[in-house]
Amino acid sequence: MGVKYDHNAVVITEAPKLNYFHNYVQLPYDYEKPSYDARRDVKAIQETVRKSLDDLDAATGWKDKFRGMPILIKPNLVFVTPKSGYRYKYDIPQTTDPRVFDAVMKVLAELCPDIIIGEGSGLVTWTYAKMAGYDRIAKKYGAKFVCFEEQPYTRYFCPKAEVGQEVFVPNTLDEVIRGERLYVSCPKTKCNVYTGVTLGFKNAMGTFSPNMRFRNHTWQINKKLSDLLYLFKPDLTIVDGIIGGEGNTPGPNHPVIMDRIVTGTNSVEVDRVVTELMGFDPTKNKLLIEASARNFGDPNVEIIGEKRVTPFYPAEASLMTDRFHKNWPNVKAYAGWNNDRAPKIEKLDGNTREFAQAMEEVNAGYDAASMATTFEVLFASYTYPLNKHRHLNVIFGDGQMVDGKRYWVAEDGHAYSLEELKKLPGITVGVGEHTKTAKEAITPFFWIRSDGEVNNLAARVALAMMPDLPGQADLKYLPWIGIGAVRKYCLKVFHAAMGHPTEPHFDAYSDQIFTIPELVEKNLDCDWVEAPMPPLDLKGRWEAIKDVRLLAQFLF
Amino acid sequence: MIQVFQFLICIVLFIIGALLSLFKKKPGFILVLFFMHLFELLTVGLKTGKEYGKKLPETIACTLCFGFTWWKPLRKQIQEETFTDKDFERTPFDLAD
Repeated sequence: MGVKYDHNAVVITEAPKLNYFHNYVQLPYDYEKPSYDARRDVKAIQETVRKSLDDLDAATGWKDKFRGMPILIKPNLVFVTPKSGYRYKYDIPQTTDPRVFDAVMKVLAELCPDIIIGEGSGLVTWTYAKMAGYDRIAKKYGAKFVCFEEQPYTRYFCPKAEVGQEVFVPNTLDEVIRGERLYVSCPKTKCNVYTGVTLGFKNAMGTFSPNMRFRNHTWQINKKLSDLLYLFKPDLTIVDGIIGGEGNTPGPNHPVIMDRIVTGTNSVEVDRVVTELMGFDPTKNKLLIEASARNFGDPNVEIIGEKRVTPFYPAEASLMTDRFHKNWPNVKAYAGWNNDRAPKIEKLDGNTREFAQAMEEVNAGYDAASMATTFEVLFASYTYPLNKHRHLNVIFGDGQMVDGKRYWVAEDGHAYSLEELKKLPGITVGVGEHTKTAKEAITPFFWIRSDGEVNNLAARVALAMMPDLPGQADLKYLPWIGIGAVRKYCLKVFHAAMGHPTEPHFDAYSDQIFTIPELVEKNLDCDWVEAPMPPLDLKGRWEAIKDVRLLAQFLF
Repeated sequence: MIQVFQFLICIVLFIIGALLSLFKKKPGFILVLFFMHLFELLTVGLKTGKEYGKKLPETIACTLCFGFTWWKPLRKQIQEETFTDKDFERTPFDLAD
């Protein structure tokens, strides 16, 4: 599986201090022309990337292992949002800088004749690739651009995994998993509401089939992502740290000047180093803790370059922070959980804010994080001033049982019963399957059934906050998003009609671990086992066609 | 999106012109529209398309159909994305390091 390095290294390379704010989200019109290559910023980025990869080669010899091999390179495409998308005066740095990606491709194309650029953005990847200019990069280097969500799927089983035992991935990844194609991760340096930071191996979230993304998108998310390393891991990681993104991502985050490119052969170690460069303690990052616990790191890694810290302000996966209340004075959260992970309610009044926050964090990979990032989108929207003082109540969890009654704790220290929640003014939203115990208090239509259904949640909160403009009010690209969604829909229907194996039904309604019961004893020590799905029969094809919904294609 | 509406207006105008010339025997409207766009093509359209990197058939078709609603946004982008070395110098107005 993949490249085995005798020695791992992480290289931190400083870029010249220039103004990199032109075209850090979208390629300029003159890409592929001499005027583009003559630009000072482009030259500086290309030199920095090359130097970093050369230094890494001197330490690890990665180039010899890559020479002549086919590769799959994955950028990080989320919302490609130019200035006009939000009320901010700058582009939103959520996507790998296309100038950096071009520089990486330039180096790799010298070594590898067969390159696939693959991405599943969780949205309309084809459109976002077009908006950012990745289609032009692919064309320039003779590479193929693959949108993962448009591919047929294949199934694997990871016996050692804690959460992600059954994994559905696009069949483009088959070669990577078997070690016949090398995998390069090229993420952006940015914070993330679900995992703290999103870097080298978290980037693999985009390789899951769409429904897999939402499966266990709960407190188990860090385990789920770390488990994926059993299936495949980056053979090379190149982190775009020219302009980073701080704050609540995915969503309209804020640019941070970093002036660095970080490369490495062990992606867990690269992520550890970049987390430090962002001013966070990697020993407290749950994603890195999980990955290290599975021995995917390398304690003997060599770090080359200066660890100069550029502080990022963190993603706040909470509706109970000072910043949140400053932005949304009348939005109030109520959290109550009845499980072993939750702190116990000892009294109905006088609880501390920290206690309420700890209760809110119980399902950290979904509830509060999804709400926080949704509110960040609304905050950046042009209609924010109209919505700022709107009353909204948000319920998390099934309510903790105290003396036979369920209670949800708010920041004011009071534990609210169901009767009290029913009397709250404004719209009340219930987040996730668990909150059905509070359904009587939830405004009709505003109960989001599924845990992990982040896009549905965002859409309903946006409706609750009417009048509201969606994030990305840059209507120029709306037709392209529509075309991209219809294209995706048609391709999925085509695959289903042809009987190609498809992903399972959307099944993020519980915390269950999905396993394959027929696994035999001899496979239990393997990192992964192929679990191919047979082609669909006629009935299966019809079911699969019905399962493809046009509206869902806009989201995932 | 605005550009899409503009394109739609152009198409509607051409349809009106075609209907006028077919049913009312008044070809003036469509001819004025066509010659205006031809003039734009020869004076600005071809130059803009070439500078932007558009293929010649696309430039001709789009300018003849949509006129300035097609080439003007390209012109604007070219102006916005034409830089000198000075544009890449870091200034105190950039975000704090």
